[in-house]
Amino acid sequence: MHRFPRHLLLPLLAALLCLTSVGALLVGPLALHLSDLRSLLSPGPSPETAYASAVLLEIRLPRVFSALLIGAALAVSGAAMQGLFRNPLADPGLIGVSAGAALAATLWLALKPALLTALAAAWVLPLAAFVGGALAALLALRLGQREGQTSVASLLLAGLSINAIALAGIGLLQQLTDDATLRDITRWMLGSLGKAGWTEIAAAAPLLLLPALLLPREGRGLDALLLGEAEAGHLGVDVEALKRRILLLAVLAVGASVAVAGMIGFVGLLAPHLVRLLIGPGHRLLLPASALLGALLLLLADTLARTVATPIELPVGALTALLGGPFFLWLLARMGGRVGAL
Amino acid sequence: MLIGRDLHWRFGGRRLLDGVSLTLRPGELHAVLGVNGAGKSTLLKLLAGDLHPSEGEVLLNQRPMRAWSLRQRARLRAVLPQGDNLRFAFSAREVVALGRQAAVSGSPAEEAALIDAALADADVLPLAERSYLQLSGGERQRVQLARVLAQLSQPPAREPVPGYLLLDEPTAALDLAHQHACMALLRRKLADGLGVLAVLHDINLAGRYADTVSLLHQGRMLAQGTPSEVLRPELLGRAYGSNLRFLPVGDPQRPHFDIAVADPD
Repeated sequence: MHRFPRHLLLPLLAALLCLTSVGALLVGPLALHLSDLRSLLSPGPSPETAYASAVLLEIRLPRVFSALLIGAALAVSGAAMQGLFRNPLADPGLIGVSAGAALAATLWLALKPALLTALAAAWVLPLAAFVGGALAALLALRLGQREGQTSVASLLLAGLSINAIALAGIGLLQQLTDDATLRDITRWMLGSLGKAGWTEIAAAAPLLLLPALLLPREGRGLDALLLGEAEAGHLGVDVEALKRRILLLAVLAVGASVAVAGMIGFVGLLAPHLVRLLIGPGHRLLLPASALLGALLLLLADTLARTVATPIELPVGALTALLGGPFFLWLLARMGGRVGAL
Repeated sequence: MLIGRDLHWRFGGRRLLDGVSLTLRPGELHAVLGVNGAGKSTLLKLLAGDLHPSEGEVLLNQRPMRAWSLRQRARLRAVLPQGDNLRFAFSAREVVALGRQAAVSGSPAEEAALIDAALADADVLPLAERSYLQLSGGERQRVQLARVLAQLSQPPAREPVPGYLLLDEPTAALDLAHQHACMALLRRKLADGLGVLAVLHDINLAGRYADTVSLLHQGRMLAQGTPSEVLRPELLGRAYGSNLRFLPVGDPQRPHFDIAVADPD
């Protein structure tokens, strides 16, 4: 097997990530130059640069941060779930977590008491999404368990039905809300980083960082798990504890990202696949590399989404699906249907 | 020693194993025989610690199986299950390296040598860099065998610890030459202080290579002892059914049978 040199992958991705981040800060309706960055980031900009400084600090910087965090968290959760299910097509969305989170968040948006301030709302939305995602995951796990063992097939089937029910619930709620909320819900169902300011990021950052930092530590156990659950046990892995940790972290990541940016698909599927094509399925490198590549992909997609049709901003979730879907089909066709070979 | 004492396993109201005892000593190759559903795999799972017996107990080096942590167990016993679940494109060498996860590892050079040795033992060293998914069934089985061998290997500087290898039909997917190569390899490994338990379907492989044999029938131990004690036509007839006739040939100490199928009339 010919593979990309393993030791080069993380430095290369990190370098690309830095370059892309700087690029994303500069492009937009108000074009900035690299030479402006230093003066704009310094405290107390002069009156003529105050506007540009505000654009940079209050709009683009939080947006770049949220793209990086959400992309990394989604991709590393996707990679971990694919290992957990021993299925390269598995994804947190698959077991109903995304839809459950979306339903709870929609419920919150539709019914929120007017008394709560915007600040409180910023904290409550990710919390609601996390609770919804966690409930969906617990339900899927419960339905998916037979005699204390998690059966992958029944877990996936449970996820499918939870997805259907949650999406139907969201559809019903949309009928009951006023037009402004409906627009909110719709935009956010398509996935967008347009509402990600510092408040939203501050609320979601711990929930996104925790999975992005902790999941890569599970590489050894996930490698063993690819052999099968009994086999992983024989190699000294506490499989049930490993499953619980991975599900909890994945639910955190998905719930928080759904709360901030809505439903963004394909990042959790695409990034791990690309990394596997380069360096194989070993999780010790796959997990951190997926996090970096996921951050890179979502940042690129979001930068495209907000610049390609200015002044209109495209929903980034629609963009990742538009770009990711065909790529994924091409990948499947190239593999001649041998999904396991990915 | 790995000891199963008066093991019972009941599941869904059925008695799948009914008072079976078995002792596996370091340096001993023990074959478990019996028809499908006789309880062979259940016995192996109980001895491996995958299942906890409904009654009876499993002792690993004088301590109850449950008293050992999963990691400690992984250093003392390796298990080759039937079938394989791997659907990701690890190379054969990476699969074997997974066997080293729980081991007290040596230097990187020692580990690499140890993995190479396991690959060579199982005759898959030339396939080491190939994707596991592109290997044939028999090649995969040999890679998995190399993995469990690597799990119980020790870097040369370390004092050898007796380990137990539990193999569920290790020869099932192998061609005739590799079946014998596999059994001969297991016999060579006995010298390193390993105890090997293998579930087998071929009574002649058991007769030729095993030190001791268990013959299971409907969840009970029909006979246990040396090959010449257990592999007798009347016992085999009871275990495998009256359709088969077992005709002994050659050395009675290393029993070998021609097997005739009774005329349906």
